[in-house]
Amino acid sequence: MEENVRLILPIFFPIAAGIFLMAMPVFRKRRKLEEGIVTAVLAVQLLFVVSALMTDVTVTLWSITDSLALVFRADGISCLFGLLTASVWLLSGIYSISYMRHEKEETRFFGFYLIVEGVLIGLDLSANLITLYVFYELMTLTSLPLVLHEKSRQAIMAGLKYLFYSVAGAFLALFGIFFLSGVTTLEFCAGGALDSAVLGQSRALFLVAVFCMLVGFGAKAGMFPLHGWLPTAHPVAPAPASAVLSGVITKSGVLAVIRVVYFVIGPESIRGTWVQNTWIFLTLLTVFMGSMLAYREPVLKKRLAYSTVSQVSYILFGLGLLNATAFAGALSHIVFHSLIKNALFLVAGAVIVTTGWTRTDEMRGLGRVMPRTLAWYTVASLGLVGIPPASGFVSKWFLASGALESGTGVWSFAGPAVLLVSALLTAGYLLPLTVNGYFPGSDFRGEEIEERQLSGREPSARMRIPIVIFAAASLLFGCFPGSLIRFLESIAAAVM
Amino acid sequence: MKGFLLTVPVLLPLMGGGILLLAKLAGHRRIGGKCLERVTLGVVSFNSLLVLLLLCSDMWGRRVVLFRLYSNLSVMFKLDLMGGFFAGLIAVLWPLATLFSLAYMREEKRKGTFFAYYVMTYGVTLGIALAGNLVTLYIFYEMLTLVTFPLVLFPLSREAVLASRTYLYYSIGGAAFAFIGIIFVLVFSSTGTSEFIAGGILSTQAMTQQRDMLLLVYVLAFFGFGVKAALLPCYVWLPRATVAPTPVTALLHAVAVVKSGAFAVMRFTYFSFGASFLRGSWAQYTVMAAALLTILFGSTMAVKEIHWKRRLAYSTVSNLSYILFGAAIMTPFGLAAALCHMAAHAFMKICSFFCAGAVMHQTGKNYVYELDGLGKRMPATFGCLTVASLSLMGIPLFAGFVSKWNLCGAALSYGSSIVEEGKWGAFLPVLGVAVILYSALMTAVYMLSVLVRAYFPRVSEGSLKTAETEENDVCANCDPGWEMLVPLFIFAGVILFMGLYPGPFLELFGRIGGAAA
Repeated sequence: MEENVRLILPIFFPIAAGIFLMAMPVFRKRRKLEEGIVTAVLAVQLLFVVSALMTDVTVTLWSITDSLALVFRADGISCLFGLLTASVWLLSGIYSISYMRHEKEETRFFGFYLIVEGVLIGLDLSANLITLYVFYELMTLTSLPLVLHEKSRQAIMAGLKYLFYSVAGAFLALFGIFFLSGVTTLEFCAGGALDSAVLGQSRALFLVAVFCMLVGFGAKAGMFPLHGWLPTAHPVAPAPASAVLSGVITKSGVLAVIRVVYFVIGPESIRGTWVQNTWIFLTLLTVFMGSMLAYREPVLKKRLAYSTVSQVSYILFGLGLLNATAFAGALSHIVFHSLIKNALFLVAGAVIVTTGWTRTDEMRGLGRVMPRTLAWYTVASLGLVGIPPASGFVSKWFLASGALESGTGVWSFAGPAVLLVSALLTAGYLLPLTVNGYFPGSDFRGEEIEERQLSGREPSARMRIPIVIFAAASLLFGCFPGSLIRFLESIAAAVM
Repeated sequence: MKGFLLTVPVLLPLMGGGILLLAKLAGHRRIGGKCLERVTLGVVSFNSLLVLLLLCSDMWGRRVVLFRLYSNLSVMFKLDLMGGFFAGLIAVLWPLATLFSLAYMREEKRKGTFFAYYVMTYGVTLGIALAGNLVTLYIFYEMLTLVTFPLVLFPLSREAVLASRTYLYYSIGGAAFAFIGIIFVLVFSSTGTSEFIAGGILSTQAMTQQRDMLLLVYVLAFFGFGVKAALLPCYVWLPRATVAPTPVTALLHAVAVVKSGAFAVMRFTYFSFGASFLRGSWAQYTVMAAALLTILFGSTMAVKEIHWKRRLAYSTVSNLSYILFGAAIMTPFGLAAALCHMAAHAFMKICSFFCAGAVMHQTGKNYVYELDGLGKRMPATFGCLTVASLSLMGIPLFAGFVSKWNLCGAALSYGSSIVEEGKWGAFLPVLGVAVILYSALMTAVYMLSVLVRAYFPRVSEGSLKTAETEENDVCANCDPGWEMLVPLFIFAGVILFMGLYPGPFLELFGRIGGAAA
C-alpha cells in the first residue's frame, strides 16, 4: 500500500501544489512567499520522484473500461526520464524565480509550471499506451499557458500553433493506438508483445498505423514534417519555459516513440520495412534541415529552437536504426541534449534580461558584459558540437558506430555523414557568439555597453548557478560517461 | 389496460401544451407570469418522473395499440431497450433544459406560446422514442416538424421567418423520401405490419428477388430521415435555425430533433430492413460515404464560422454523422458505438450551447471574436464549456473519448472482417477512422480557439492598461443565476462521469446492439 502511494505521489503532488498556488489570491501580493513555496515544492518533488523510481509495483489507478486503464510502473526508461525531468525542473525553476521578476502574472506561470511537471512525471511512469496518451494530451494542454504567457498577439498565435501541431500529432498517433488495441495488448513490456502472425492480411495497415504513430509523436519531438511549431513557440515563451520545452517536453515525443517501438510492437516487426527506411530518412532530413535553418537564423532563441529540431532528430535517428548501440547512444543524447540545451536557453534568457538583446548580431562584445556566463555558454556549445571530452562526443560516437553496424544499407553510411555535416553546422551557428563576444574586432567601440553601463553585469546568482550546473554536468558526463552508458546498455539489452 | 400507461408520457405534454396554447388564445391574463413557469416546469418534471418510473417498472416488451387507422396501419407504442434508452435520455435532459429556458426567456413577451410548443415537443419526441412501428414513428416525425416550426419562427424577425421556412421545407421533403421507404417495408414485410423487430422484417423472398430495388429504397429513406440528422446535402436548415432562442437550438437542434433523425435511421436500419441484409452491400457503402463526407464538411465549416452558435451548429452537423457512421457499420458493436456517441454528444452539445446561451444572455455577445477575456468574468460558465470542449475533442477521461474509442474500434474490426471477405468497400471503415480523427483535430481548432480567447485575452501592445485596472475589470463577475448554472453543472458532471465510469452505459449499449443486429 505504502509503495503504491509513493509511486503516485510525484504525479499529483505538483499538480495539487500548482492549483493551490493559482487558487489562493494571497500569493499574488506576497511574492517572496510564493517564490519560497515554488522552490520548496520543486525540491521536495525531486525527492518524491527518486522515491517513486525505487518502487517495484504496478499501480492501476483507475479502470475506465476493461481495456482502458490508467496504470503506472517505474522501469529503466522511467528512471531516465523521471530523474531528468525532476532535476531539470528544479534548476530551471530556480532560474525562473529570478527571471520572472521581469514578467507579469508570474503566479499563473509558476502554477502551470508545477502542473506540467506532475503531468510529465505521469507520462514517464505510465505503464500502458492509454495512460501515456492521456498524459500526452494533458501535457499539451497544460503547457500551453507557458508558451503564450506574454499574451501578445504573436505569443497567442504561437501558442495556438503549438496547440494545433501537438493535437494533430496526438490524433495521428491515436489512429495507431486504435489499430494496435485490436491486435495486441497496450501494456508496455520490454521488446514488445506483438505477435506478427496475428496481423495476417492487415499487415499493410499495421505498417501505416505505426508510421502514423511515429510521425504523430514525432510532432512533439520536432520531426519533419510536423516541426513547424518549435521555432515559432520557443522565441515567444519566457526563457525558462523555452528551456524546459526544448530540454524536456520535446523529449516526451521521443519517450512515446520509444514506448511504441520498443515496448509495444517490438523492433523486429518493422525492421527492414518501408516504415524504418522512411523514418530514418525523415530524421536525417530533419537533422540537416534543422542545422541549416539554425545556421541562417539571426535571432538567438529561434536559432536554438532550430538547433533543437536538429538535435532531437539525432535521437530519433538512433532509435530508428533498431540496434542496441545506437539505442544506447540515443538515450545518452537525450540526457546530454537536455542539459546542454537548457544551459543555452538559460544563457539566452540571461542576455535578454540584462541587455534586452535578442539577435546574435547585437551580441557583439557580449564577453565584456558577462564574461563568465559566456564561458559557460561556450562549454555547453562545445558539448553540442561534439568535441571530446565534452558529452556530445560520447553520444555521437555511439550513434555513428551503431549506424555503421546496423546493416541498414545506405543509411549506415549516410547517417554518420549527415551527423558530421550537422556537427560542422552546429559549430557554425553556436560558436560565432563566443568568438564575437570575446573578440569583437578592432572596429568595435562598445558605445552601447558603456552608455548603459552594462560592462561586467553578470546575471544574479539564482540565474547563474543553474547555468553553471547544467554546463558543468554536460562536461562531467562527457569525461566520465561509464556508469551512465552501462545503465543505458542494460536497458538496450532488455528491449532488443 | 396497464399497457396504456405507455401512452401517458406521450399524450400528457401534448395536452399540457395544448391547454397552455388555448389559455393564451382565450386571452387568459395570468398565464404570463409565475403561473406559466410553474405549470411548464410541473408538467415537464412530472412527465420525466413518469418516464423514469416506466423504465424502472416491468413494462419492458409491452406493446399497446392506441388506435387503428386502416387495416395494417396502426398507432402503436412499445417499450424496448433502444426506445427506452432514447426516452430516458430525453427525460433526463428536458426538465434541466426547461429550467434553463425559464430563466433565459424570462424577459420575453410571448413566452406563453413558446413554452406551449416547448412542452408539446417533449411529448412528440417521446412518441418517436416509444413508437412501436414505422407508421407511428413517421406520424410523430412529421408532428415534430410541425411543433418545432413555431419555435424557430419565434423571434419573428425576417431572418427567423426565412429560417423556419427552410426548416419546414427540408423536413417535409425529407419525410417524403422516408415515406417511400415505409411503403416498401409495408409491402414486403414478412409480418404484414411495420412493427419493429430486431433483425428486420423483410420477407426472405423479397430480399432475394427485389434486392437492388430494396437497397435503392433504403438509400432514399436513409437520406430522407437523414435530413433531420443534417446529413449532406440537406444540412442547410440546421445552421440557419440557430436564429431561434438558445434553449431551442440547444435542446431541439442539438438533441431532440436531430437525434430523432438519427434514431429513426437506426430503427429503420436495424429493425425494419435488418443489418444482415444491408451489410456489405453498395447501399451500406453509399450511406457510409455520405456520413463521412458530412463529418468532413461539418467540422471544416465549423472552423470557418465566426458566429458562435452557428459554429456549434456545424459541429452538430459533423457529430450527428459520427452517429450515422456508427449506425452504418451495421454490426452490433457499431450500433452500440453509435448509441454511445448519441448519449455523449447529447450532453456535450447541450452543455456547449447553454454556455453560449448564458454568455448571450448575460453579455449579449454572439461572435467568437467578442469573447476576449470572458473566462475570468464568467468562471463557472467557461469551466463547464472547458469540460464540454475537451470532451468533444475526444480527450481521454471525458465522455467523448469513450464514444470515439468505440466508434473507431467498431469501424476497424468491421473493416478487417470485410477485408477477409474481399469486399471492395473494405477501405471505407478505415477511412472513417481517419476522417473522425481529422474531425477531432478540427474540433480542437474550433472549440479551443474559443477557450484560448476567453482565458488569455490579448494584451495589445499600445494599451495603457496596467495590471491594476485589468484586475478591476476582471472582478465584475457576470455568471448567470442558479437556474442556468445548475443544468450546466449537471451536464458537465455527467460528461465527466461517463468519461470516467462508462462501464454500465457501455454494457447497456452492448446489449441493445447485440439484440438488434
